[in-house]
Amino acid sequence: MTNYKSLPIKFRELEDGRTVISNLANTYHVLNDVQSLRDVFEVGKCTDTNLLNELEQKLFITSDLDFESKVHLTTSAFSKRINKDLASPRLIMIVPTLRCDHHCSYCQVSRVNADLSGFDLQSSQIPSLINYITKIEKPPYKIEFQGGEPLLAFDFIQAFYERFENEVGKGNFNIVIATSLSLIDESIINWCRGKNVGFSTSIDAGKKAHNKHRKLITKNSFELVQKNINWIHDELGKDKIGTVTTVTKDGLEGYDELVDTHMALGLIGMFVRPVSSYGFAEEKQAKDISITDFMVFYKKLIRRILNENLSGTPLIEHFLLIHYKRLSNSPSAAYVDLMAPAGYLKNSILIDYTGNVFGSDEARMVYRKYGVDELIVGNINNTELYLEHSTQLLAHSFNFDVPGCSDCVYQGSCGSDPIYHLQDFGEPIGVKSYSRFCELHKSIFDFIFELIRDQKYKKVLDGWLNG
Amino acid sequence: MILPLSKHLYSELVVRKALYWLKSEYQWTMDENESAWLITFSCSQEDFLHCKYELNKLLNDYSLREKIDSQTDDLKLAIIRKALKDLSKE
Repeated sequence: MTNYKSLPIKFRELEDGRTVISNLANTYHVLNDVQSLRDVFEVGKCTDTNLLNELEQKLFITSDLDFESKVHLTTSAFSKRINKDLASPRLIMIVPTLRCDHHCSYCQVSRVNADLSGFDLQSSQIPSLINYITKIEKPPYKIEFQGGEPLLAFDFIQAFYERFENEVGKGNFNIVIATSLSLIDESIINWCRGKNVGFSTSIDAGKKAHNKHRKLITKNSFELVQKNINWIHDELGKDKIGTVTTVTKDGLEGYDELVDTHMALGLIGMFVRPVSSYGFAEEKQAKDISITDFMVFYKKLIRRILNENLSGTPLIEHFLLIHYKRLSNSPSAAYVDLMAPAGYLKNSILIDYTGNVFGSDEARMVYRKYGVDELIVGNINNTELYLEHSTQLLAHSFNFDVPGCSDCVYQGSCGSDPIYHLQDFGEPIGVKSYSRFCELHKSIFDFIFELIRDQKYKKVLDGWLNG
Repeated sequence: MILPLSKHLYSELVVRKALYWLKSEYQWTMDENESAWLITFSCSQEDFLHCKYELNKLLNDYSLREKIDSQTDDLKLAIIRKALKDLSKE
């Protein structure tokens, strides 16, 4: 086919001169250079039939004859993609207490000391809590206990679990406790046996960075988390614990140590991202580490992980994988930060220790710092919903008509984060050229195209995708 | 420092989109006369050279987008409208 019509495309020149193109169906193709782009789409005089056939299959160009069907296919794919993000299940986060035994330098919610009172959800509120959850979401329920340190309120978690199991049935929910693991003990381990309960914990990039930022009086947060991960593996199973890594300036040299730590613990997954700038973390650590710094670290980390995979050690980095899934239109690509319209409220809610309901964890962080009452969408003790402000936030979170996003090649895979931009710019869209959100995700998408140029790395990533 | 950009070469949208992506340290204002967009930068001579280089890259990029998009912009809007209409029916 040498006579063809162009369909709408977006493009971006990569650092190596190749040019990524995408379309409304969210399919991607990498052209050798900008000249190829000009030949195909500006001049319309490309004669490379192999390339043209591939571009036709991917809905970038069409013959006159197939024009209507190709437009129909594009419309349908675009609609399906938005629908998929709209229909993804909602994560329900509960903050049973704001108390915490750690005093982390980048704490986003300004936790309070472990011995303070007045910062816990009361057990008497469990019926209202369950009533609220079952009204707003359908099973299977995904519940996550956040903090503070949720293990300081373990009685509450137990009582919630038992009542929730009675009401919705054991097969209809799954609970994750986000914890530093410093307070886990035998009674907690024993109670968790055979239950739908797992743990998510933090391991930062290197012992030094971890203990510096995750401050315990005993100064051994890193040692405790390692010991207790081993304990959970032995007693509850390897699938009961996942890790999240927060990268600060002090961890920028810790990529090898981070991988070594995970491998020594027998962990096969990790989730690594830079310290975020929400809430109280805004003025602490986030400004110290640029996205450029993070990407230097991250590229070394990922290459090490991919090489470990090539040597036969299975290890997945989920932050990269979720971006790869978004680029590949994978059915399981739901990730609250990478959705447009945003995942805020429709794919996540957070119920804090006062019973107040927020559209996301980040929204409660911003509320804690700035007291933006409009971010409270309700309370478990009454049925009123205050959705006017949140509806506005969501309405501004489509990214196809937003400055900076409307021309972006990654628009179909990326998301929008109205809460981040509300915090940093005072309005939900923000200026993308100054946005850390935009810089981070764009850098990771670029990096993926850099990686998959090498077939051996592409094979590993495809293995993660299909695994 | 003032950088004149020919209106014959660049539309207002192309110039504004290119300026949008300049780093925050490059402060600018935009004015016009009959034949040119007049971009005033408040920076040193050295920064001005860097800035000009960055801006030229962006102007090339957005000019090409404008040319390519001009063939398909209406179609793109029609596809988005149709998809959203279908979604609202579901």
